[in-house]
Amino acid sequence: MREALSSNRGGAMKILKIIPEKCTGCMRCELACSYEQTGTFQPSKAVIRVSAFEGHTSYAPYTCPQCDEAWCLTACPVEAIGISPAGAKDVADDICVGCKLCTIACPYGTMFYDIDTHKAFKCDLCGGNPACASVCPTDAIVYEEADKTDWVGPFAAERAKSPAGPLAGVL
Amino acid sequence: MARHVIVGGGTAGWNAITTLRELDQGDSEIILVADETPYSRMVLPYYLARDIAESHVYIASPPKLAALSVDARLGARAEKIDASAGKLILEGGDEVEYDNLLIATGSSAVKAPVPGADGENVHSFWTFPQARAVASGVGEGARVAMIGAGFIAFTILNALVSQGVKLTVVELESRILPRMIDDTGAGIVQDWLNDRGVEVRTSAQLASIEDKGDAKLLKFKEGPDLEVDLVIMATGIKPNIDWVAGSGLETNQGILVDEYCRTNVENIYAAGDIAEGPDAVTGEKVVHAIEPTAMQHGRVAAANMAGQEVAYKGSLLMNIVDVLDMEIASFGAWDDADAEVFEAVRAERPAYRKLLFHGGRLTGAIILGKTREIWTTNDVGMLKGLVYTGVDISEWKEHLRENPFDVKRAFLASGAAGGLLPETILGRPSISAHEIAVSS
Repeated sequence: MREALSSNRGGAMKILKIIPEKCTGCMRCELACSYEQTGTFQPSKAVIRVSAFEGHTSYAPYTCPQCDEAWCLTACPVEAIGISPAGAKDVADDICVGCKLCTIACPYGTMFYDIDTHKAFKCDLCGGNPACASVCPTDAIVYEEADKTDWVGPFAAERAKSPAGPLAGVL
Repeated sequence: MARHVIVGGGTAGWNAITTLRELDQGDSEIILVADETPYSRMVLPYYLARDIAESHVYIASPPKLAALSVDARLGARAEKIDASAGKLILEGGDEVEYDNLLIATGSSAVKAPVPGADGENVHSFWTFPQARAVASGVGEGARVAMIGAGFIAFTILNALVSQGVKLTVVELESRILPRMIDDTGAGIVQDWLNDRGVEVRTSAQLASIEDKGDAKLLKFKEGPDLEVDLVIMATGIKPNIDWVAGSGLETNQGILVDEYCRTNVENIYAAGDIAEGPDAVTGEKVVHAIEPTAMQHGRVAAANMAGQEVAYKGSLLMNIVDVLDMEIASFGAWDDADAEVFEAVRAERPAYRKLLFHGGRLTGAIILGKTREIWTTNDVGMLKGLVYTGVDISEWKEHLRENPFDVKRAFLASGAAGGLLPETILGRPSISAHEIAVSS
């Protein structure tokens, strides 16, 4: 128990490292994620999301960074969110009541709400074998020991400074 | 061994207990004085909807408290504090000495001061017993009047509708949710409710509640009477502060606390609905009677009680409520006449966004849209991150002025995530509740 604990205390842990420069925007990660998480090929149920920058010429996947503060976990009023053996913050469906407090507590925008199950859901690192990383054909998403860092921010900021500026993409 | 005495077993008190045990693994004495077995108020609406059992509402059963080595005085009520002697005096005269005292006595529902407000079948919906009373009175076809159209009222609206009640919402002010969204948002929500068979009366001042056979007859200053079977009073809450009078604690709306959740009296802390502490956006002291503030206050107070010197950035005002599959959320200073405002309505969806800026900093936001629209629930966290960090997004302002809905890329480019990741409130990674235990 204490060993399991210490692995979550800033020690080395495998995380999803994202190299947006390698992303082609193929959305395979979203498809694989939604299938692994919910059994359907439905990107709207994915907990990793690809954003388009510079119109539609470059892309960046983004998902839960498994932050140390664990805003979702501490916010949950029924202790439905725990830390899995893989080190992921994970929602227990049988305890979650769907109050959405975690969705406003999480400052990363990586808590989701499933309108069909009425439960919160998020990246659980697929129990230690994340589908997004497995299927990424260009190694833009890799699962390895690395620092928890903002993998997408500098890329996104640099795209915002491009001659095209922060162009409207979708929506 | 230090003795921590905690008064109140709600979200603030319970989080203080778990945080103390997280930090000391049992190396302190904890006495909990609470007049009820701790439960989670946040899930009472799901109990009312009959989604969950009573057992699901209790967050800390007596065995769980015992496992954390908490001396739980359940059913006991604090009467006063003798700070010079370091003693808490309970009703009935028992005294409890403390090294550190945490006041987390929360707030109580206040009924509209009208004749008949204390009559039969007129209930507040705040405590577990009140929730039980309401639950036993609602069912298919029951006519229910909800007095007050604030956040608390709206948290139980879905549950009432799901039970098949005929609901009328009555609000004194000119719009619903007056302290959570603005006129534009309130108008959209009101139309949404009307289209779904919920009657809403605004600018309606209740004059009295009379009995009419088994039914209740509501009379107003103006307008037609309303006959219902059950009345729910969601007309506000107030901090349970009266009992600390004479203790030397500085109070305003609540007990004033600093960024360590310390009061002006040595070794006395306050947390949750009863504490008036710094706001993360404005820095001013306010009572934020919301669950996330109670949780954070409880943790911060406990860390300091355990001797850790943990300063707190302040609480962020935020609320989210789902009203018949429409999501309504607001963050920070959303009602700020001095702010630069970008807003957009998409009436056909319907959806609404309002972003409030001071310079390059997002200081408040309102978001409203169908729960089924994926971006509605997806964007709330990013808006929270932007408001909470106050990161400079000057470069995105023109874009957001054009399209306040496209917040995602602005968030990703802002570096907010990079700033947040190294930050933890207690200076250490959080752990699962079930991993918190006392060492034998």
